Amino acid sequence: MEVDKGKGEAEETRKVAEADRDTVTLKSSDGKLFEVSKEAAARLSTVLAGMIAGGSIDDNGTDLKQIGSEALENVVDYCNKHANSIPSAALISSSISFNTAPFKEPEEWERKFVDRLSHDALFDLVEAANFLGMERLLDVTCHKISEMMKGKSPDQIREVFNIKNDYTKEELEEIRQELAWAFYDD
Amino acid sequence: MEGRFESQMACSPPAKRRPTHGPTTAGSGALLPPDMLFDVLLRLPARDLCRLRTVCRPWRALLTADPVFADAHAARHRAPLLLARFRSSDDEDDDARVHVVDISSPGGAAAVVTRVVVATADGYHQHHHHRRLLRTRLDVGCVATETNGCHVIDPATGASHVLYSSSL
Repeated sequence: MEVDKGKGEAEETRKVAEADRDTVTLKSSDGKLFEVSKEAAARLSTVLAGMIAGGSIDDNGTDLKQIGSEALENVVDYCNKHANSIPSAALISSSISFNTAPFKEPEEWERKFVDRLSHDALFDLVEAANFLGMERLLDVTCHKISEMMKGKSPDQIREVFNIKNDYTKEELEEIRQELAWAFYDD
Repeated sequence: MEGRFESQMACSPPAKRRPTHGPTTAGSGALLPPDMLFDVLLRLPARDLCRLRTVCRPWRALLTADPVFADAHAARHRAPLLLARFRSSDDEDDDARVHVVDISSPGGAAAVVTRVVVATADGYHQHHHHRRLLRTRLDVGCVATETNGCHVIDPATGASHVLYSSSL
């Protein structure tokens, strides 16, 4: 594992990689091509790792028909940034996930990475991460979305997440009364 | 944008995404496939989740009636729920209430998750008997009345069960 390499070294690895085809080319649903480090792709995505190991990588661009170019660009960007960052001990062990393990907080750069995304881009990225089996990226994006839910009223949540209110007025009033304490601000 | 998640590797059902007009019929999150909604909600403290029950029926079902979600949430949020009773001179009803308190709520301040009303089998005597919250196992509480009634409260669900009532 090359998880400990510094920035300079990573840069050099990348130069060498280009010569030796140590990258994989991914093709978005709308036909755009993106290069990503093979090592990072294999380490961060179980699906890409499987494709690399199984030899189903296409040198002219592996089709990822389910992922649009904006989301794929973010995925590739995340992989490259991840390859260049020095992961904390917490991050290294985060690839092993137990159902009961407490959630790992995102690193500072990961926070910034998702903070700059629009809602649409974030939702696309969370689906791409899910599709590619990128557990850490899924963690980071889900964390961001949960932060977006905190302190919001049900109305605001419905708007952000495009959900129809399927309760009758009476039902809603009933649940509200049952939960009056949860709507108080403190 | 069409044809997402139709491959053999799809982890979630094909979601109809981002309609240009009006909200979709209530799915468990029109912009968020169910798997991911599960993951997101798992991260929120109990108090936020209670508020989110009013968003739509599918969310409420997930938050109140899905044992897989309840278990996963309990496992991720390890801070214990506490049971507390408060004495109130002007509201006799308060005597029958046990407050389930979540000390893992955001900001570090303890938040009341729910209030459980412990009624006696014979509701008529409700206001005449003091109830005592007994120390029991860590994951259940026990409320005793002077007439030897006993209720067990599960802090996670807020359910109260009659364990023993002398009037039965």
